[in-house]
Amino acid sequence: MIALSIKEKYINFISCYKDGVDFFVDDFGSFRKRDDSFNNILNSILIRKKISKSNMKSKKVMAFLDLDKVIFNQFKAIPQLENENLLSLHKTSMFGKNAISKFKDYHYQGCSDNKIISVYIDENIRREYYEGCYNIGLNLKVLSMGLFSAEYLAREVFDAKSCAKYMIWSVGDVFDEVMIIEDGLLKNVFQLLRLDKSFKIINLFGDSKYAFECADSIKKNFEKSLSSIDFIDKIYMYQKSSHCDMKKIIKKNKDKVIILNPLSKMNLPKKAKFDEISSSYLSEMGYIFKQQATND
Amino acid sequence: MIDVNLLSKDGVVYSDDKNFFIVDESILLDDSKDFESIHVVESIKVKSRNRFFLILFALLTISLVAFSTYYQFSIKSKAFVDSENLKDMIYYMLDEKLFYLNEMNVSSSGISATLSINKNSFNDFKNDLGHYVDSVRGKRKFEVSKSSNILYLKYPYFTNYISVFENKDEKLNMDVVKDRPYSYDFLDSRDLKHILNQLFNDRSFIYNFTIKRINSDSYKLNLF
Repeated sequence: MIALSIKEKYINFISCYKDGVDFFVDDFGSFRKRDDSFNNILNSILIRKKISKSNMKSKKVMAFLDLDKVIFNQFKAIPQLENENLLSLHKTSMFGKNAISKFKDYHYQGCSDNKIISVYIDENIRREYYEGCYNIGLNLKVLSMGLFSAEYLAREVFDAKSCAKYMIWSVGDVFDEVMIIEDGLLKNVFQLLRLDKSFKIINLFGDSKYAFECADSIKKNFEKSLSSIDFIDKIYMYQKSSHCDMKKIIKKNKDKVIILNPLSKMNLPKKAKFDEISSSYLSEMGYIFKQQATND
Repeated sequence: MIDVNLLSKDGVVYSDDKNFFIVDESILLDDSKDFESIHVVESIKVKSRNRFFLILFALLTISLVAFSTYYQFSIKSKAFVDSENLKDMIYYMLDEKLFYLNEMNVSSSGISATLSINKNSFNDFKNDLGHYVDSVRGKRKFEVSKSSNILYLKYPYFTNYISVFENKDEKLNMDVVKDRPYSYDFLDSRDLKHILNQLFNDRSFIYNFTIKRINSDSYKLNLF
Protein backbone atom coordinates (compact mmCIF):
# COMPACT_ATOMS: atom_id res chain seq x y z
CA MET A 1 0.00 0.00 0.00
CA ILE A 2 1.26 3.42 -0.95
CA ALA A 3 -0.45 6.38 0.67
CA LEU A 4 0.35 9.96 -0.12
CA SER A 5 -0.93 13.36 0.83
CA ILE A 6 -0.69 15.99 -1.85
CA LYS A 7 0.08 19.48 -0.61
CA GLU A 8 0.57 22.72 -2.48
CA LYS A 9 4.36 22.45 -2.33
CA TYR A 10 5.08 19.03 -0.82
CA ILE A 11 4.27 15.39 -1.24
CA ASN A 12 4.18 13.22 1.87
CA PHE A 13 4.15 9.45 1.45
CA ILE A 14 4.35 6.14 3.22
CA SER A 15 4.73 2.65 1.80
CA CYS A 16 3.63 -0.16 4.09
CA TYR A 17 2.04 -3.58 4.13
CA LYS A 18 -0.09 -5.59 6.49
CA ASP A 19 1.05 -8.94 7.79
CA GLY A 20 -1.55 -10.54 10.02
CA VAL A 21 -2.79 -7.74 12.23
CA ASP A 22 0.43 -5.75 12.13
CA PHE A 23 1.56 -3.07 9.77
CA PHE A 24 5.14 -2.95 8.51
CA VAL A 25 6.69 0.16 7.00
CA ASP A 26 8.92 -0.06 3.92
CA ASP A 27 9.59 3.62 3.49
CA PHE A 28 8.18 7.04 4.28
CA GLY A 29 9.15 10.62 3.62
CA SER A 30 8.35 14.03 2.25
CA PHE A 31 9.70 15.80 -0.80
CA ARG A 32 9.17 19.07 -2.61
CA LYS A 33 6.68 18.88 -5.49
CA ARG A 34 8.49 19.65 -8.73
CA ASP A 35 5.60 19.23 -11.14
CA ASP A 36 1.88 18.64 -10.94
CA SER A 37 1.77 15.44 -12.97
CA PHE A 38 0.33 12.75 -10.70
CA ASN A 39 2.11 10.08 -12.80
CA ASN A 40 5.49 11.73 -12.21
CA ILE A 41 4.78 12.06 -8.48
CA LEU A 42 3.92 8.36 -8.23
CA ASN A 43 6.91 7.35 -10.32
CA SER A 44 9.29 9.32 -8.13
CA ILE A 45 7.94 7.37 -5.14
CA LEU A 46 7.96 3.98 -6.87
CA ILE A 47 11.62 4.23 -7.92
CA ARG A 48 12.77 4.67 -4.33
CA LYS A 49 15.09 1.82 -3.45
CA LYS A 50 13.22 0.63 -0.35
CA ILE A 51 9.93 0.55 -2.26
CA SER A 52 11.13 -0.95 -5.54
CA LYS A 53 12.97 -3.69 -3.66
CA SER A 54 10.18 -4.38 -1.18
CA ASN A 55 9.16 -8.02 -0.85
CA MET A 56 5.53 -7.02 -0.40
CA LYS A 57 4.81 -4.82 -3.38
CA SER A 58 1.24 -3.67 -3.57
CA LYS A 59 -0.71 -1.92 -6.30
CA LYS A 60 -3.06 -0.20 -3.86
CA VAL A 61 -2.84 3.55 -3.48
CA MET A 62 -4.54 6.06 -1.20
CA ALA A 63 -4.37 9.78 -1.97
CA PHE A 64 -5.27 12.59 0.40
CA LEU A 65 -6.01 16.17 -0.56
CA ASP A 66 -6.26 19.43 1.32
CA LEU A 67 -9.71 20.73 2.20
CA ASP A 68 -9.59 23.48 -0.43
CA LYS A 69 -9.58 20.90 -3.23
CA VAL A 70 -13.25 20.12 -2.54
CA ILE A 71 -16.38 22.17 -1.89
CA PHE A 72 -18.30 21.84 1.37
CA ASN A 73 -21.89 22.65 2.12
CA GLN A 74 -24.00 22.03 5.17
CA PHE A 75 -27.73 22.14 5.60
CA LYS A 76 -30.32 20.98 8.06
CA ALA A 77 -32.45 17.99 7.21
CA ILE A 78 -36.13 18.87 6.79
CA PRO A 79 -38.42 16.04 7.90
CA GLN A 80 -41.16 17.10 5.50
CA LEU A 81 -38.89 16.85 2.47
CA GLU A 82 -37.32 13.70 1.01
CA ASN A 83 -33.52 13.79 1.27
CA GLU A 84 -33.11 13.14 -2.47
CA ASN A 85 -35.19 16.18 -3.37
CA LEU A 86 -33.39 18.32 -0.83
CA LEU A 87 -29.97 17.29 -2.10
CA SER A 88 -30.95 17.93 -5.70
CA LEU A 89 -32.26 21.34 -4.73
CA HIS A 90 -29.01 22.27 -2.98
CA LYS A 91 -26.81 20.98 -5.79
CA THR A 92 -28.74 22.91 -8.42
CA SER A 93 -28.66 26.08 -6.37
CA MET A 94 -24.87 25.76 -5.89
CA PHE A 95 -23.74 24.88 -9.41
CA GLY A 96 -26.64 25.70 -11.72
CA LYS A 97 -28.25 23.23 -14.08
CA ASN A 98 -25.48 23.32 -16.67
CA ALA A 99 -22.52 22.56 -14.40
CA ILE A 100 -24.33 20.12 -12.16
CA SER A 101 -22.94 17.04 -13.93
CA LYS A 102 -19.34 18.23 -13.48
CA PHE A 103 -19.41 17.47 -9.76
CA LYS A 104 -19.81 14.31 -7.73
CA ASP A 105 -21.63 14.92 -4.47
CA TYR A 106 -21.45 13.01 -1.19
CA HIS A 107 -23.74 13.65 1.77
CA TYR A 108 -23.04 12.55 5.32
CA GLN A 109 -25.42 12.54 8.23
CA GLY A 110 -22.88 12.23 11.04
CA CYS A 111 -23.06 15.89 12.03
CA SER A 112 -24.31 17.46 15.21
CA ASP A 113 -27.64 19.36 15.31
CA ASN A 114 -29.17 16.94 12.78
CA LYS A 115 -27.27 18.56 9.97
CA ILE A 116 -26.06 17.03 6.72
CA ILE A 117 -22.62 17.83 5.38
CA SER A 118 -22.13 17.69 1.61
CA VAL A 119 -18.80 17.29 -0.14
CA TYR A 120 -18.53 18.10 -3.83
CA ILE A 121 -15.56 17.17 -6.00
CA ASP A 122 -14.93 18.04 -9.62
CA GLU A 123 -15.28 14.83 -11.64
CA ASN A 124 -12.17 15.79 -13.64
CA ILE A 125 -10.05 15.87 -10.46
CA ARG A 126 -11.43 12.49 -9.42
CA ARG A 127 -10.60 11.01 -12.82
CA GLU A 128 -7.16 12.64 -12.95
CA TYR A 129 -6.07 10.83 -9.80
CA TYR A 130 -7.79 7.53 -10.63
CA GLU A 131 -6.45 7.38 -14.20
CA GLY A 132 -3.02 8.64 -13.07
CA CYS A 133 -2.71 5.47 -11.00
CA TYR A 134 -4.32 3.23 -13.60
CA ASN A 135 -1.93 4.38 -16.34
CA ILE A 136 1.08 3.07 -14.44
CA GLY A 137 -0.57 -0.13 -13.26
CA LEU A 138 -1.66 1.03 -9.81
CA ASN A 139 -5.10 0.89 -8.27
CA LEU A 140 -6.37 3.97 -6.44
CA LYS A 141 -8.57 2.71 -3.63
CA VAL A 142 -9.17 5.87 -1.62
CA LEU A 143 -9.32 9.56 -2.52
CA SER A 144 -10.09 11.66 0.51
CA MET A 145 -9.11 14.68 2.57
CA GLY A 146 -6.13 14.45 4.89
CA LEU A 147 -7.94 15.97 7.87
CA PHE A 148 -10.76 13.41 7.75
CA SER A 149 -8.24 10.59 7.44
CA ALA A 150 -6.30 11.93 10.45
CA GLU A 151 -9.57 12.04 12.40
CA TYR A 152 -10.04 8.33 11.67
CA LEU A 153 -6.52 7.66 12.95
CA ALA A 154 -7.24 9.58 16.16
CA ARG A 155 -10.66 8.01 16.64
CA GLU A 156 -9.86 4.37 15.93
CA VAL A 157 -6.13 3.98 16.58
CA PHE A 158 -5.47 6.62 19.26
CA ASP A 159 -8.80 5.93 21.00
CA ALA A 160 -10.21 9.45 20.65
CA LYS A 161 -13.70 7.92 20.47
CA SER A 162 -13.51 7.46 24.23
CA CYS A 163 -13.49 11.27 24.58
CA ALA A 164 -16.75 13.18 24.49
CA LYS A 165 -15.18 16.14 22.75
CA TYR A 166 -11.93 16.19 20.85
CA MET A 167 -10.16 18.31 18.32
CA ILE A 168 -7.95 17.38 15.36
CA TRP A 169 -5.49 20.20 14.79
CA SER A 170 -3.39 20.15 11.66
CA VAL A 171 -0.53 22.64 11.91
CA GLY A 172 0.48 24.18 8.59
CA ASP A 173 3.04 26.74 7.55
CA VAL A 174 0.41 29.20 6.24
CA PHE A 175 -2.78 28.17 7.97
CA ASP A 176 -3.99 25.39 10.23
CA GLU A 177 -6.98 23.10 9.79
CA VAL A 178 -9.16 22.22 12.74
CA MET A 179 -11.93 19.66 13.17
CA ILE A 180 -14.04 19.36 16.31
CA ILE A 181 -15.93 16.18 17.14
CA GLU A 182 -18.58 16.16 19.82
CA ASP A 183 -20.27 12.96 20.98
CA GLY A 184 -19.06 11.16 17.88
CA LEU A 185 -20.60 13.77 15.59
CA LEU A 186 -18.87 16.35 13.46
CA LYS A 187 -19.31 19.75 15.08
CA ASN A 188 -17.00 22.05 13.11
CA VAL A 189 -14.31 22.21 10.49
CA PHE A 190 -12.42 25.44 9.95
CA GLN A 191 -9.18 26.84 8.63
CA LEU A 192 -7.29 29.01 11.06
CA LEU A 193 -4.84 31.70 10.04
CA ARG A 194 -2.19 32.11 12.77
CA LEU A 195 -0.32 35.39 12.54
CA ASP A 196 1.86 35.99 15.58
CA LYS A 197 -0.70 36.38 18.33
CA SER A 198 -3.82 36.76 16.21
CA PHE A 199 -6.08 33.92 15.12
CA LYS A 200 -8.43 34.37 12.22
CA ILE A 201 -10.95 31.86 10.86
CA ILE A 202 -10.81 31.98 7.07
CA ASN A 203 -13.13 29.11 6.14
CA LEU A 204 -15.57 27.16 8.17
CA PHE A 205 -18.57 24.92 8.13
CA GLY A 206 -20.66 23.85 11.05
CA ASP A 207 -21.84 26.04 13.89
CA SER A 208 -20.18 29.40 13.13
CA LYS A 209 -20.88 30.87 16.57
CA TYR A 210 -19.29 27.87 18.22
CA ALA A 211 -16.28 28.03 15.85
CA PHE A 212 -15.55 31.68 16.68
CA GLU A 213 -15.85 30.96 20.41
CA CYS A 214 -13.33 28.12 19.99
CA ALA A 215 -10.94 30.37 18.06
CA ASP A 216 -11.21 33.04 20.76
CA SER A 217 -10.56 30.50 23.48
CA ILE A 218 -7.52 29.14 21.67
CA LYS A 219 -6.22 32.67 21.17
CA LYS A 220 -6.57 33.52 24.87
CA ASN A 221 -4.80 30.39 26.07
CA PHE A 222 -2.29 29.85 23.32
CA GLU A 223 0.59 31.74 24.88
CA LYS A 224 0.22 30.07 28.31
CA SER A 225 -1.33 26.65 28.09
CA LEU A 226 -4.15 25.06 26.15
CA SER A 227 -4.98 22.89 29.16
CA SER A 228 -7.34 25.57 30.42
CA ILE A 229 -9.52 25.19 27.32
CA ASP A 230 -12.61 23.48 28.62
CA PHE A 231 -14.71 22.97 25.49
CA ILE A 232 -12.71 19.93 24.45
CA ASP A 233 -11.11 17.01 26.26
CA LYS A 234 -8.15 16.28 24.00
CA ILE A 235 -6.33 17.88 21.12
CA TYR A 236 -4.85 15.48 18.55
CA MET A 237 -2.20 17.42 16.71
CA TYR A 238 0.01 16.82 13.70
CA GLN A 239 1.91 19.01 11.29
CA LYS A 240 1.12 19.10 7.57
CA SER A 241 4.71 18.66 6.45
CA SER A 242 8.12 18.14 7.97
CA HIS A 243 8.82 21.85 7.49
CA CYS A 244 6.08 23.10 9.80
CA ASP A 245 7.01 23.41 13.44
CA MET A 246 4.58 22.46 16.19
CA LYS A 247 7.29 21.73 18.74
CA LYS A 248 6.63 24.98 20.61
CA ILE A 249 2.92 24.20 20.92
CA ILE A 250 3.59 20.66 22.11
CA LYS A 251 6.17 21.78 24.64
CA LYS A 252 3.69 23.91 26.60
CA ASN A 253 0.71 21.56 26.29
CA LYS A 254 1.89 18.03 26.91
CA ASP A 255 -1.08 17.19 29.11
CA LYS A 256 -3.70 18.35 26.64
CA VAL A 257 -2.10 17.64 23.26
CA ILE A 258 -1.50 14.19 21.84
CA ILE A 259 0.85 13.90 18.89
CA LEU A 260 -0.76 11.97 16.08
CA ASN A 261 1.69 9.77 14.20
CA PRO A 262 0.84 6.38 12.67
CA LEU A 263 4.48 5.25 12.85
CA SER A 264 4.11 4.80 16.59
CA LYS A 265 1.52 2.08 15.83
CA MET A 266 3.51 0.38 13.09
CA ASN A 267 6.60 -1.79 12.77
CA LEU A 268 9.55 0.00 11.28
CA PRO A 269 12.47 -1.51 9.38
CA LYS A 270 15.42 -2.57 11.53
CA LYS A 271 17.55 0.31 12.78
CA ALA A 272 15.04 2.83 11.40
CA LYS A 273 14.24 5.74 13.68
CA PHE A 274 11.68 8.49 13.39
CA ASP A 275 11.04 11.84 14.97
CA GLU A 276 7.50 11.75 16.34
CA ILE A 277 6.79 15.41 15.65
CA SER A 278 8.50 16.02 12.32
CA SER A 279 7.04 12.85 10.75
CA SER A 280 3.55 13.44 12.17
CA TYR A 281 2.43 14.54 8.68
CA LEU A 282 1.87 10.83 8.07
CA SER A 283 -1.29 11.12 10.19
CA GLU A 284 -3.14 12.11 7.03
CA MET A 285 -2.71 8.50 5.86
CA GLY A 286 -4.90 7.26 8.73
CA TYR A 287 -7.25 5.33 6.45
CA ILE A 288 -4.45 2.79 6.00
CA PHE A 289 -5.68 1.35 9.29
CA LYS A 290 -9.22 1.20 7.95
CA GLN A 291 -8.23 -1.58 5.56
CA GLN A 292 -7.27 -3.60 8.61
CA ALA A 293 -10.67 -2.96 10.15
CA THR A 294 -12.57 -3.85 6.98
CA ASN A 295 -10.03 -6.53 6.00
CA ASP A 296 -9.80 -5.05 2.50
CA MET B 1 -18.39 9.41 12.43
CA ILE B 2 -17.73 10.55 8.91
CA ASP B 3 -15.35 8.64 6.68
CA VAL B 4 -14.95 10.10 3.23
CA ASN B 5 -13.91 8.24 0.09
CA LEU B 6 -14.52 10.38 -2.97
CA LEU B 7 -14.09 7.36 -5.24
CA SER B 8 -17.14 5.58 -3.91
CA LYS B 9 -20.56 5.99 -5.46
CA ASP B 10 -21.94 9.45 -4.92
CA GLY B 11 -25.10 10.17 -2.96
CA VAL B 12 -26.00 9.77 0.68
CA VAL B 13 -23.35 7.92 2.73
CA TYR B 14 -24.31 6.45 6.07
CA SER B 15 -21.96 6.36 9.05
CA ASP B 16 -21.96 2.56 9.21
CA ASP B 17 -21.12 2.35 5.53
CA LYS B 18 -19.38 -0.93 4.79
CA ASN B 19 -18.72 -0.07 1.16
CA PHE B 20 -15.93 2.38 1.93
CA PHE B 21 -13.43 0.72 -0.40
CA ILE B 22 -15.86 -0.05 -3.23
CA VAL B 23 -15.02 2.22 -6.15
CA ASP B 24 -17.80 3.86 -8.15
CA GLU B 25 -18.41 1.86 -11.35
CA SER B 26 -18.71 5.05 -13.38
CA ILE B 27 -15.03 5.81 -12.87
CA LEU B 28 -13.72 2.30 -13.47
CA LEU B 29 -11.82 1.99 -16.71
CA ASP B 30 -12.73 -0.78 -19.10
CA ASP B 31 -10.11 -3.50 -18.61
CA SER B 32 -11.35 -5.30 -21.69
CA LYS B 33 -9.70 -2.66 -23.85
CA ASP B 34 -6.26 -3.66 -25.01
CA PHE B 35 -3.43 -2.15 -23.01
CA GLU B 36 -1.87 -0.17 -25.85
CA SER B 37 -5.05 1.70 -26.68
CA ILE B 38 -5.59 3.02 -23.17
CA HIS B 39 -2.09 3.27 -21.82
CA VAL B 40 -0.81 6.82 -21.85
CA VAL B 41 2.92 7.18 -21.87
CA GLU B 42 4.02 10.52 -20.53
CA SER B 43 7.26 11.95 -21.73
CA ILE B 44 9.98 11.94 -19.12
CA LYS B 45 11.36 15.33 -18.37
CA VAL B 46 15.13 15.13 -18.31
CA LYS B 47 17.01 17.55 -16.10
CA SER B 48 19.24 19.93 -18.03
CA ARG B 49 22.39 18.53 -16.37
CA ASN B 50 21.34 14.97 -17.15
CA ARG B 51 20.41 16.05 -20.68
CA PHE B 52 23.96 17.29 -21.26
CA PHE B 53 25.42 13.93 -20.25
CA LEU B 54 22.76 12.12 -22.26
CA ILE B 55 23.65 14.07 -25.40
CA LEU B 56 27.37 13.57 -24.74
CA PHE B 57 26.83 9.86 -24.29
CA ALA B 58 24.77 9.70 -27.51
CA LEU B 59 27.46 11.56 -29.47
CA LEU B 60 30.20 9.29 -28.14
CA THR B 61 28.15 6.23 -29.05
CA ILE B 62 27.47 7.55 -32.57
CA SER B 63 31.15 8.42 -33.02
CA LEU B 64 32.21 4.97 -31.85
CA VAL B 65 29.76 3.23 -34.19
CA ALA B 66 30.79 5.48 -37.10
CA PHE B 67 34.49 4.88 -36.51
CA SER B 68 33.94 1.13 -36.13
CA THR B 69 32.02 1.06 -39.40
CA TYR B 70 34.67 3.15 -41.13
CA TYR B 71 37.42 0.95 -39.72
CA GLN B 72 35.63 -2.24 -40.72
CA PHE B 73 34.85 -1.22 -44.30
CA SER B 74 37.42 1.40 -45.14
CA ILE B 75 40.58 0.55 -43.31
CA LYS B 76 40.52 -3.02 -42.11
CA SER B 77 38.89 -4.44 -45.25
CA LYS B 78 40.56 -2.17 -47.74
CA ALA B 79 43.34 -3.45 -49.89
CA PHE B 80 46.18 -1.30 -51.17
CA VAL B 81 47.40 -1.78 -54.72
CA ASP B 82 50.40 -0.08 -56.29
CA SER B 83 49.15 1.41 -59.56
CA GLU B 84 52.48 0.78 -61.29
CA ASN B 85 52.36 -2.92 -60.44
CA LEU B 86 48.78 -3.06 -61.68
CA LYS B 87 49.81 -1.41 -64.94
CA ASP B 88 52.69 -3.87 -65.33
CA MET B 89 50.34 -6.80 -64.76
CA ILE B 90 47.92 -5.53 -67.40
CA TYR B 91 50.78 -4.95 -69.86
CA TYR B 92 52.03 -8.49 -69.22
CA MET B 93 48.53 -9.91 -69.79
CA LEU B 94 48.23 -8.00 -73.06
CA ASP B 95 51.69 -9.04 -74.29
CA GLU B 96 51.68 -12.70 -73.27
CA LYS B 97 51.10 -15.09 -76.17
CA LEU B 98 50.35 -18.18 -74.06
CA PHE B 99 46.95 -16.83 -73.00
CA TYR B 100 44.58 -14.00 -73.90
CA LEU B 101 43.07 -11.39 -71.70
CA ASN B 102 39.33 -11.71 -72.38
CA GLU B 103 38.03 -9.23 -69.87
CA MET B 104 39.28 -7.13 -67.03
CA ASN B 105 37.51 -4.85 -64.56
CA VAL B 106 39.28 -2.35 -62.31
CA SER B 107 37.30 -0.30 -59.83
CA SER B 108 37.32 0.81 -56.21
CA SER B 109 35.47 -2.37 -55.27
CA GLY B 110 38.23 -4.61 -56.63
CA ILE B 111 39.83 -6.19 -59.67
CA SER B 112 38.67 -9.10 -61.78
CA ALA B 113 40.14 -10.70 -64.88
CA THR B 114 39.16 -13.52 -67.20
CA LEU B 115 41.92 -15.21 -69.22
CA SER B 116 41.62 -17.69 -72.08
CA ILE B 117 44.22 -20.33 -71.56
CA ASN B 118 45.40 -23.57 -73.01
CA LYS B 119 45.53 -26.13 -70.24
CA ASN B 120 48.63 -27.69 -71.75
CA SER B 121 50.57 -24.45 -71.56
CA PHE B 122 49.33 -23.35 -68.12
CA ASN B 123 52.50 -24.49 -66.39
CA ASP B 124 54.59 -22.47 -68.86
CA PHE B 125 53.22 -19.11 -67.79
CA LYS B 126 52.09 -20.00 -64.27
CA ASN B 127 55.19 -18.67 -62.58
CA ASP B 128 55.36 -15.46 -64.60
CA LEU B 129 51.69 -14.68 -64.05
CA GLY B 130 52.09 -15.53 -60.38
CA HIS B 131 54.94 -13.05 -60.14
CA TYR B 132 52.79 -10.16 -61.45
CA VAL B 133 49.75 -11.20 -59.42
CA ASP B 134 51.83 -11.34 -56.26
CA SER B 135 53.21 -7.88 -56.89
CA VAL B 136 49.66 -6.52 -57.13
CA ARG B 137 47.92 -8.38 -54.31
CA GLY B 138 49.98 -7.06 -51.41
CA LYS B 139 48.76 -8.68 -48.17
CA ARG B 140 45.56 -9.93 -49.76
CA LYS B 141 45.05 -12.88 -52.01
CA PHE B 142 43.48 -13.20 -55.42
CA GLU B 143 40.67 -15.71 -55.65
CA VAL B 144 41.65 -18.05 -58.48
CA SER B 145 39.47 -20.59 -60.25
CA LYS B 146 40.35 -22.50 -63.37
CA SER B 147 38.44 -24.52 -65.93
CA SER B 148 39.93 -26.33 -68.88
CA ASN B 149 40.39 -23.16 -70.92
CA ILE B 150 39.42 -20.23 -68.65
CA LEU B 151 41.27 -18.80 -65.70
CA TYR B 152 39.36 -16.46 -63.36
CA LEU B 153 41.18 -14.03 -61.14
CA LYS B 154 39.25 -12.01 -58.61
CA TYR B 155 40.41 -9.45 -56.07
CA PRO B 156 37.13 -8.79 -54.20
CA TYR B 157 38.17 -6.04 -51.78
CA PHE B 158 37.54 -2.37 -51.45
CA THR B 159 40.74 -1.14 -53.00
CA ASN B 160 42.88 1.92 -52.58
CA TYR B 161 45.17 2.52 -55.51
CA ILE B 162 48.41 4.14 -54.52
CA SER B 163 51.31 5.70 -56.32
CA VAL B 164 54.66 4.68 -54.97
CA PHE B 165 57.39 7.10 -55.88
CA GLU B 166 60.96 6.21 -56.59
CA ASN B 167 62.29 6.72 -53.09
CA LYS B 168 59.52 4.32 -51.92
CA ASP B 169 59.01 6.34 -48.75
CA GLU B 170 56.49 8.51 -50.42
CA LYS B 171 53.10 7.04 -51.16
CA LEU B 172 50.07 8.82 -52.49
CA ASN B 173 46.48 7.64 -52.43
CA MET B 174 44.89 7.94 -55.84
CA ASP B 175 41.29 9.03 -56.04
CA VAL B 176 39.07 6.73 -58.01
CA VAL B 177 37.33 9.15 -60.35
CA LYS B 178 33.88 8.66 -61.74
CA ASP B 179 33.70 10.64 -64.92
CA ARG B 180 31.08 10.57 -67.61
CA PRO B 181 31.23 7.18 -69.35
CA TYR B 182 33.57 7.02 -72.28
CA SER B 183 34.59 4.15 -74.44
CA TYR B 184 37.46 3.39 -76.84
CA ASP B 185 36.64 0.77 -79.42
CA PHE B 186 38.82 -1.44 -81.58
CA LEU B 187 42.11 -0.72 -79.92
CA ASP B 188 45.01 -2.97 -80.64
CA SER B 189 47.21 -3.88 -77.72
CA ARG B 190 49.74 -1.14 -78.49
CA ASP B 191 47.07 1.61 -78.51
CA LEU B 192 45.44 0.18 -75.46
CA LYS B 193 48.73 0.23 -73.56
CA HIS B 194 49.30 3.78 -74.72
CA ILE B 195 45.94 4.93 -73.34
CA LEU B 196 46.47 2.98 -70.13
CA ASN B 197 49.83 4.59 -69.77
CA GLN B 198 48.16 7.98 -70.05
CA LEU B 199 45.57 6.94 -67.47
CA PHE B 200 48.15 5.70 -65.01
CA ASN B 201 50.43 8.63 -65.69
CA ASP B 202 48.47 10.96 -63.53
CA ARG B 203 49.35 9.63 -60.14
CA SER B 204 46.69 11.49 -58.27
CA PHE B 205 43.63 9.66 -59.59
CA ILE B 206 42.52 6.60 -61.49
CA TYR B 207 39.37 5.85 -63.47
CA ASN B 208 37.21 2.82 -63.07
CA PHE B 209 37.68 0.92 -66.31
CA THR B 210 36.88 -2.26 -68.14
CA ILE B 211 38.89 -3.95 -70.89
CA LYS B 212 37.10 -6.37 -73.22
CA ARG B 213 38.67 -8.40 -75.98
CA ILE B 214 36.61 -7.99 -79.13
CA ASN B 215 38.59 -10.28 -81.40
CA SER B 216 42.09 -11.62 -81.70
CA ASP B 217 43.51 -8.18 -82.52
CA SER B 218 41.35 -5.62 -80.84
CA TYR B 219 40.08 -4.52 -77.45
CA LYS B 220 37.46 -2.20 -76.11
CA LEU B 221 38.19 0.11 -73.19
CA ASN B 222 35.30 1.53 -71.15
CA LEU B 223 35.84 4.25 -68.60
CA PHE B 224 33.06 4.73 -66.07
